[in-house]
Amino acid sequence: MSFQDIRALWYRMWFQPQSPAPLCLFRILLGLLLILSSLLWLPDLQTWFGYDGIVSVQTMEQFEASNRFSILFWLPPDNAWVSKLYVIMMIAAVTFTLGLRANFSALILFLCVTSFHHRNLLIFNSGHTLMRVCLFLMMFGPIGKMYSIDSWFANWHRPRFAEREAERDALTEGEELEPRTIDVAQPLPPILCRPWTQNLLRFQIALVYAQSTLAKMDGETWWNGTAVYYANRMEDFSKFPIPFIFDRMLGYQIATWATLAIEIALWTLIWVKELRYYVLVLGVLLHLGIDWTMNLPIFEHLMIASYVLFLKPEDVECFVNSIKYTFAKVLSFRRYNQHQTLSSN
Amino acid sequence: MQSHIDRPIESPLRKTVITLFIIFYIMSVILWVLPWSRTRDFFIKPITQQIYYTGIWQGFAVFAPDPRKENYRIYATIRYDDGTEKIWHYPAMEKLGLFERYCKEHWRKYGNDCLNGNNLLWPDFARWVARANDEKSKHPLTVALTRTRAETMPPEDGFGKPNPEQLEKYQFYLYRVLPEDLKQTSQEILKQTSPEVLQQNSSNDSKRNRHEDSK
Repeated sequence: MSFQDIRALWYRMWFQPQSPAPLCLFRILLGLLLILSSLLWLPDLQTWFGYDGIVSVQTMEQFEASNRFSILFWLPPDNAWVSKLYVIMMIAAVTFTLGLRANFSALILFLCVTSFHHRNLLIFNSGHTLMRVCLFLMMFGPIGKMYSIDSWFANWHRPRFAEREAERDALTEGEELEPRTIDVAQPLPPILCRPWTQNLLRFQIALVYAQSTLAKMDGETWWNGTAVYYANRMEDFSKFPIPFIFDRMLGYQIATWATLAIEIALWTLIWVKELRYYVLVLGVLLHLGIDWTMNLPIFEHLMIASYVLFLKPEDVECFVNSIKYTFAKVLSFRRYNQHQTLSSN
Repeated sequence: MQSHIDRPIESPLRKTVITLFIIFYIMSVILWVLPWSRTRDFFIKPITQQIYYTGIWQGFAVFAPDPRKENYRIYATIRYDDGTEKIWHYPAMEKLGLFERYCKEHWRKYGNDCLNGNNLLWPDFARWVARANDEKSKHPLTVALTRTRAETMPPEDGFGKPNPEQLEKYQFYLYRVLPEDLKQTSQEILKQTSPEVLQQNSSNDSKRNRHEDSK
């Protein structure tokens, strides 16, 4: 492989334009999960982050010697500021989800989320950490190019602009562009963007599984097949039981080793195009299984949502279009019914 | 049909900057999650502070290396200045409803993963318990934190049986509450001592006194 080949491969991996549909759909899912997760803090907002809360700023600074960014460390010691920052965060989360000034919203949201996380590190699980890291990467990506208010505004001008650009390119020297009206109803050209942010996010998700698996390799219970038994016996995580399978040792052993095998596949086999969708299905089953037996809010949902990044853009577009179509059909059916009722009256 | 592609990225400088960012990000997070080694330390040390500060630090060792093999609960015994006592139970997930359990995930994380094994957090927590249980007629004098614990039975003994009762009890911290611990935040105290509030309080007091005189 020559240097040129490596360069071409690098370009293909990170810069060859493709539809940002998976990234944009992930923006919506991440935004919804962020809103949900932040709503969970709301009843205990001052308990966790207030200046007379469970953990003082001084204790937090002692607990974590490293210097961490948090707007709450700069503000005067008044609980009202905690509430104000929370409101700003929620507004940013809503605009991020809707895709209104998506990148700017991502920046504000990242700053607010990081501020809350660093103010009290002790209450957040791996799911919250992953949300924060994903937000960081999403600040740099074309997250508002599709399924967003930003794209709705852009599409309003885009056909005219693109067509005018094409016409301008086709002109020979000395010619001038003739003024004319453009058919707005014509189909829009496809949106293509550099996929480096999406691919970095994919790498990040794979890294979650890589670290999780490699850390488990040191544990005795993961080797002898009893890890899921002990995990199920942790009362603070308990949710719904799984009868029959978890009534015998063999069931626990299969569950333990299957967890490891699926986690390994999620950072190795997932890069094989032909196997990707099978691996993703196994991943979804794994997380649904964990979600059934264990109370780990947000984490399982976030991992399943992140699989959108691994889907083919055309599949994501097809899925979103089918939702739009169903939605439009339901709306038109309701309108038709209303019309019928009015005319019969 | 002409496609719509981001034009500015065509600039070679931008592409180089992005390439450097990609390499830096991948290398730094791989080094971050790797187990300790001299090589890892050599490369990660110069950027550790920056990674912490910017919030891209991470760790995903879920239930690793082994899941916990014991169950805990925490409760606080509050002794008041009138000699009475009250028990305050830290939210135990297994005793909550499904929705409540979902909403109180942060309590689980703090209680089981942090409060249980870190004495640095105990004074703040005891102060908070005292404030939360302060009453108009009586004030907390001491807060004692107690842990109950039971080891999980090994699989060969545990199948088909519920977890053992948490019979092991251990008072791990006793805090003597100071009067300033029971004060609310500085801003709330300021609000209470603002001229308008003081004036209102004094007028209420005078009304009350007049009422008592007329009695």
